[in-house]
Amino acid sequence: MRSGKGRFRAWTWARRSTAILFLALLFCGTREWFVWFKGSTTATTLFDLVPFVDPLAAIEVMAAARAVEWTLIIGGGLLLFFSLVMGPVFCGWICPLGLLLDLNGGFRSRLIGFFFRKGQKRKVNAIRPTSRYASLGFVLAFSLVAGLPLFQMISPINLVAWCLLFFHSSTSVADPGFWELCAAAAGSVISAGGYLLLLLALIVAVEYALPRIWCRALCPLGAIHGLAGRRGLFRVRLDSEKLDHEPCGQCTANCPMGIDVLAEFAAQKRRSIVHEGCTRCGACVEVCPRRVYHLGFRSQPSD
Amino acid sequence: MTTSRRRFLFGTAAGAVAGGAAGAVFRAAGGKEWRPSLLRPPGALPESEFLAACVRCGQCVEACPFKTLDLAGADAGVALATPYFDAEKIPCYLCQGYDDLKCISACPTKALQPVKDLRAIAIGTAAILEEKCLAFNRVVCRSCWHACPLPNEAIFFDSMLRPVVNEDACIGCGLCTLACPTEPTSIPILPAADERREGS
Repeated sequence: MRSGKGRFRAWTWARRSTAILFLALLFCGTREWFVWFKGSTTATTLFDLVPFVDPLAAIEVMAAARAVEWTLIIGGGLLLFFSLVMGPVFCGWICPLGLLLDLNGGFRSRLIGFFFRKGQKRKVNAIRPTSRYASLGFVLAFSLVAGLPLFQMISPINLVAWCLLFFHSSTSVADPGFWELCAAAAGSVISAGGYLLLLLALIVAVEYALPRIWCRALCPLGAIHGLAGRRGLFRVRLDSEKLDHEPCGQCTANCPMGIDVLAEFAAQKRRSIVHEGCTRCGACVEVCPRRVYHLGFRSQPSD
Repeated sequence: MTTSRRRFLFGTAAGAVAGGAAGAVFRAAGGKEWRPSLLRPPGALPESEFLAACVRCGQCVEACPFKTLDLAGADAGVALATPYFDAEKIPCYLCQGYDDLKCISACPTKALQPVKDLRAIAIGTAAILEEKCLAFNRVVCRSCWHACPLPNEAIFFDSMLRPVVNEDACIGCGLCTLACPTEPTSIPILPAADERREGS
């Protein structure tokens, strides 16, 4: 049977475009080319009015400062509500680190396809929700006790965004053009004590052995969004007339989050996936040779 | 209890115990001091509270019309990604010509507090290096006094026409630092750091 691999991967490119657009808007904000969307991954402001705050950052800062702040509650609440309705699409569609790892993962599979025989059985790397929750508990407790929002300092998600958006002002050119900006960004990564470069290099290197280990087992932000968006209405659904398909396992083998798609369907006895790790990335939809899945909104409560 | 609820409760609890312990060790070791003294934007909370309240989003950096602010790099230790400025490169122009202090308006948290009056700002204090200052070395120079937003309050002259900083009035904007003709400057700003005055 023909695998779905040669197909145009519409969901993948829709997802990558969204993440790139998000970064591009933020970048334009720092250069004053587009002033209505400002900030970075931890907090942004739309039209100088609507705050969007990374829910984990909001909780961490309130825990560290031991104070209730309405901007943080509203801004964090907005994004949590979005996840509640749409599912944890932040991870698959917006997260800058997710974008980097996704592109890197594509490169990795090409590399493996080039050096090894095609059609080899891929080892499935299972998702570890418990370990993500442990990471969440760790950063929250640390923030509360130490009075410092820990994850906002070390988060590789923020680092990817910061490398692109900030640390430029050290450039000696008054009104830098594109290449001066690139040079300044590269210089800033190095001048920041090598920390940024090291951490990113480490994550990318680990990617080659354990793909998406950060997203699957470590990310506390993913844990929060997953928790809120587990039952989000936008889901991977099984087309009803194709319920009794002969399983080939491509969906499970290609899930970047390591979810055993077939087992989930078998265990949950419903026609859509409810799992805290499912980022609605559409990989299973795209690889399925029989096209038994699609991404869409839940239509009935029994789905 | 469902599997996912068990995962959540068990995972979070185990992580919280470890995180709480690590936080206590960090606190006992005085980890919040692992940072250089930085010049903060106007209206910033005292350093320890500022580190807790700042969400590190960089909106103050983007809002600054003079491109004064920057996010600190990894060499800033636990102050990583918090806003600071280098008065010798670009000082804080206190948003002269604008109706409000842009960084404070942009801040989504309470890390930057609104200030009613310029005189309530306490970024730091200017300190004159007398062995380098031209006016202390028989040259007529009033550059710092001309640049000062509070002339005759924060910087005044003694009977020998040498500049003197009034430490109670100086707000630490760094305009004098940049204006000083010596290289490097003879009037650096000492960050207010932890003994920041209360805004009155």
